Amino acid sequence: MPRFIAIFSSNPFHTLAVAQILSPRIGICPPDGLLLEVAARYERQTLKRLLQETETTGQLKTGIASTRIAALFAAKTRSGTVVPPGKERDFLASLPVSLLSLITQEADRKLLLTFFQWGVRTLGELAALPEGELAARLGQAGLRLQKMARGEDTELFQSYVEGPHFEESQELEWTLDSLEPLTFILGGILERLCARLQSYGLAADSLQLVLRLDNHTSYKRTLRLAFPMRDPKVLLSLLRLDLQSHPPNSAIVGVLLQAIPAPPRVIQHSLLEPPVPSPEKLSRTLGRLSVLLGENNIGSPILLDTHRPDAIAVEPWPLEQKSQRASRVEQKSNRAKEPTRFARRTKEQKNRRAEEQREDIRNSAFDIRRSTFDIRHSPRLSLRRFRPPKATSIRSDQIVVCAGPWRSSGDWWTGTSHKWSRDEWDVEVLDGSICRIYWDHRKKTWFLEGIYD
Amino acid sequence: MVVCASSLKGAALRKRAHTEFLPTGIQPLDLLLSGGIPRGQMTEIVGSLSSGKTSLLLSILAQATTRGELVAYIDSFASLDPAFARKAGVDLQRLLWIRGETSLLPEKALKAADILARAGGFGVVALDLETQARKANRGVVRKISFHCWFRLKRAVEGTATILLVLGNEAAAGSAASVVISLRRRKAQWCSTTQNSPIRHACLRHACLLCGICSEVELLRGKNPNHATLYCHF
Repeated sequence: MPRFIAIFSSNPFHTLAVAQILSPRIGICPPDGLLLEVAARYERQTLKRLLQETETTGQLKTGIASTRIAALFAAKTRSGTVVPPGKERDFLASLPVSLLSLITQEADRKLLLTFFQWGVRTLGELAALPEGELAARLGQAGLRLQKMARGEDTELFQSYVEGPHFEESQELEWTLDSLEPLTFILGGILERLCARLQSYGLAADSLQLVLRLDNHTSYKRTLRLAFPMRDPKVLLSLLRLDLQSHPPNSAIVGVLLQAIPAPPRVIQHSLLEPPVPSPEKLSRTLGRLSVLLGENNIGSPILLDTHRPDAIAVEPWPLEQKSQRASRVEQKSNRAKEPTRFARRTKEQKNRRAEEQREDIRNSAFDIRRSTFDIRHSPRLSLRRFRPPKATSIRSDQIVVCAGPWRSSGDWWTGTSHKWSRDEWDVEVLDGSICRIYWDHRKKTWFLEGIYD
Repeated sequence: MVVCASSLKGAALRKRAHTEFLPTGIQPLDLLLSGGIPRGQMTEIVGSLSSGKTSLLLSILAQATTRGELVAYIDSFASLDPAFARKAGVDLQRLLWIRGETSLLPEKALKAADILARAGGFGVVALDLETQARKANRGVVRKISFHCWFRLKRAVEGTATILLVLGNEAAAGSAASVVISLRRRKAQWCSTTQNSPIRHACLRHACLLCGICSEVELLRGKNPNHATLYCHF
């Protein structure tokens, strides 16, 4: 008949490592409890060995019994107790009911208060209650607590199984100083890793590459993936692109590749929306573009929540795009937060457009002979910016028409270099181009911000 | 001449795929283009500064993102203003912005366009080669060889991707199936002190820039009837 050794330790990780040597069947009792299942004749020998191995790492509370719940109670209340087989109920009878809250989360405050109101003070009194009456009043939770009070286990023993390590390494017979042969070796390693991941039904959340160099140092790269994947070709191309951007500074003598596992991603495509490329393909494309142009020059622009001119940031492009409906809703709510100046212009423009359209309908100028027709349409005018703005010295005789100024300033309260104060003008110059210029009050200079196009 | 029927067995007749179009957002222009910008082909939008070509480009990108498509914008001089793009209706989360720090060499820009065109999945790949504003870079676009343009054209053939090239002058030659030329006609300035818009620039100091009136001409396309129309941006 098996026996259980319950252990509460101040260093549970070390205790777990030692316990794994002593017994193949180990249970975890969060937060810091362990259960070892051993044969009855080896219980004392195992406990002695465990105490010897862990004596330097901290204090241990132990208890031995034929059931798990009794062993846990023994370890919690009187460390070192060995409950004889069949005497679990007697051992637990005198213990207070409140101890149930230390062992199980089912003994919540409400249940314990109910027991107190009934006059049940010990586990023995709880065990003696009639089962039918207890179930009628407290349900299955009450019955389970009663079983625990009698020293009976309510669940099957679940043995702790350590998660698999997805790690492959290869020592090289000669040094590698170029990327091509390394890619060939990484390809083989990734094939084996991905096959193992697939057999466990997992995918790689990130990859950690450690290259041993011939100057006796290590070169580490961590490739964080946008989502868990296990396609060896995609992972190889991403690794290769990463090493192209960040090559090691010496020849390579050994390779170690570790995959951090995660559940694979499950996606369902919509029948009503246009097909988008797979994120794996997109990540490869972005990787190639990063190598060509640099990581910081590729992404999705976002507008910062400030009135500072040209306040933008570039964030990594989301590989998993939101649905069309969700992005439409977001666009609508973002438009409501636009700066006041543009909203005012838009309203004025709208009123004028409506008036002009009515005038055009009255005076329609459709000339069939020349095949030209004048249609009023207003997509928004856009500005091509200069980054950074160019200092300019436009003379007044070069300007045909001007509109302005619009004064704006801000961030003077932050004390940073972002503060600005300027007068903006829209001007049409002699060559016909329409520019936005501004007078910077701080630098006392005219700048060309952009050209309308 | 008698043609043996058996000799025709090996000749697989391929039916030309029906061309789809993406509307530009400007209805008269769509009528002029017989539906919009053709997919799987290269389209050039050319014009001088302040002719409205960037506004037209953003309108096309807005149409694509509204339909849930992904778009890429290769910005040689980092001149895109995301605020104006959003106002034009572009969904910024579906816009991949590729820019050079100070400037992007045309070779790198073309290579990026090639990567994106071959990757597939993008509704529009826009290549901005506007150099007139940058005096130092004028003429570099003319040095791009024709085989580069044809390579780009072949990259999008048979796909749903539109390759848009923005520039001051037509550079792709016959590789571009459609060439739209914009010419600035006049700017529209408004004064809030008067009720009617100013039609002639007789007043030097106006209050508001209302827009630009541009003349749009189809230089090459499905039905190049040389019709022109006026667009207001």
